[in-house]
Amino acid sequence: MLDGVTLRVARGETVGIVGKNGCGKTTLLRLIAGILRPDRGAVSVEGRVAPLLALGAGFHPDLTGEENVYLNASILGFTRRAMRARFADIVEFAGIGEHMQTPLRYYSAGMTVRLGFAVAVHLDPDVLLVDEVLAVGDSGFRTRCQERFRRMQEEGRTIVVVTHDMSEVREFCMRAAWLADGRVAADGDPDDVVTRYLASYR
Amino acid sequence: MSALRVVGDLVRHREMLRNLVRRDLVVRYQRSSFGVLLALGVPVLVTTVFTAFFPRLMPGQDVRSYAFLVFIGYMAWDYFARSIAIAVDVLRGHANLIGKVAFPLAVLPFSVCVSVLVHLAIGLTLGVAGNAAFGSGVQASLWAAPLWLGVEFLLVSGAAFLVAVLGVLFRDAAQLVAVLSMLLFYATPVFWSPDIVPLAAVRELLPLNPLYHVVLGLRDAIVAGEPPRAAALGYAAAWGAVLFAAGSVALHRARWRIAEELGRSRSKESARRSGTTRRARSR
Repeated sequence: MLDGVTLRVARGETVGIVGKNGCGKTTLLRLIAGILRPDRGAVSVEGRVAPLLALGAGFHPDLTGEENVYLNASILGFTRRAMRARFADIVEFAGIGEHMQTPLRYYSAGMTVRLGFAVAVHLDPDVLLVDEVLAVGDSGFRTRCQERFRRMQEEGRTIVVVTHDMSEVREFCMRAAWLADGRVAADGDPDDVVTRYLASYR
Repeated sequence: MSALRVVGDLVRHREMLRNLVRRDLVVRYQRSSFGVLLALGVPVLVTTVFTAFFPRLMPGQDVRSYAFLVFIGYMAWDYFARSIAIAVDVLRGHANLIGKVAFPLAVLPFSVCVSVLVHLAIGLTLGVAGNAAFGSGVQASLWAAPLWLGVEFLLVSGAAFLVAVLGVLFRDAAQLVAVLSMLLFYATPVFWSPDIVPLAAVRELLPLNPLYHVVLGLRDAIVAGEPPRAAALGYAAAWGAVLFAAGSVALHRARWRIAEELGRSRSKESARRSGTTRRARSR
């Protein structure tokens, strides 16, 4: 599906990946996350990766919110002790408060995603991989997400985001890459790339 | 040395392992209405039925000791069968997770073996206590029981790794495993003793099955009060080591294929749901 993709992302850069459905955006993120191995070529990443495509990975409906936080974090490689220190922040960020002792099956879809997102952004990753998750939650939560992204950018963390929301790319990304036919069709200034990508639909 | 690598992976991911086991136990026992009842009730029922119909299949045992021998044997058997039945689906059941996070796959089947071990421990404790009160009492040879459990754990983990891989690569692996498991049940002396087997040739073949030794060994340790035979223990342990190594190699070799296979089936499902079509993920 992907063939001959060359992409070099510098530390502290925020790169938006755009392209049509099925062009390989998610596959690219999975390759970066080390979930898949390329048939040819190589992927190298420096530092710790937190895949936001792993939002709520391993969440179980019968476990409480709190139990799920620890399960999810341990799957991403974090110890209970490391999470305990961040637990209060996670609860506050997710805005779930008193429902942390409620089994997840009683959560709304938005609450579940918020909880997963809250865990992921509190792991202090060097590289954050985001797969179309910003379109969830109410507007208050979206604002918190955006603030959090800004802060991560300021802290010099690297963010690779896959999205269909072009205003997001223009607003947040320092750079954009357009994937088409398994290759990088354009790479550079977000405004230029988005304009050319949208033009391809006409 | 895939086996060593797998052991290293499991040690590094012990936190994940612990949480997966905790999840399994919470879901199975704490948040379910009949969890404990099923865990203990089923082996008790099975034992009752066998004791009602087949005590003659162990010549020289009275009905009461037959009941304890069957119960212990059934628990040992059930540990193997239950773990394998869950392990064959465990990777497919976590396809979502495997498509999202990079982690050593062995953690999943291994967590199954650990959480089912708790099930076995509850049952065996009941068996030992029952035998102490109403059976042959507490035997001096009880020290050998943990040894046999260790050997069985090794056997079950190795087998779980193997069937977990098969479960991804072949869709009907679960049915195949169920059939083989049933045949193996009749070939393992759970409710009969080996000396009733009429054909000498078959009698000699039976001990090839490592579970044969585990079942007889646990019974000797708990009910009969006989110390373990080194040859039997060594033979079963060797089987365990070989299975664990083979399972580790299989998991290691197939890991990328599994990730791709499970990622693909997931994206196809989501494509079907959203009504769009996608090209196949790999060439």
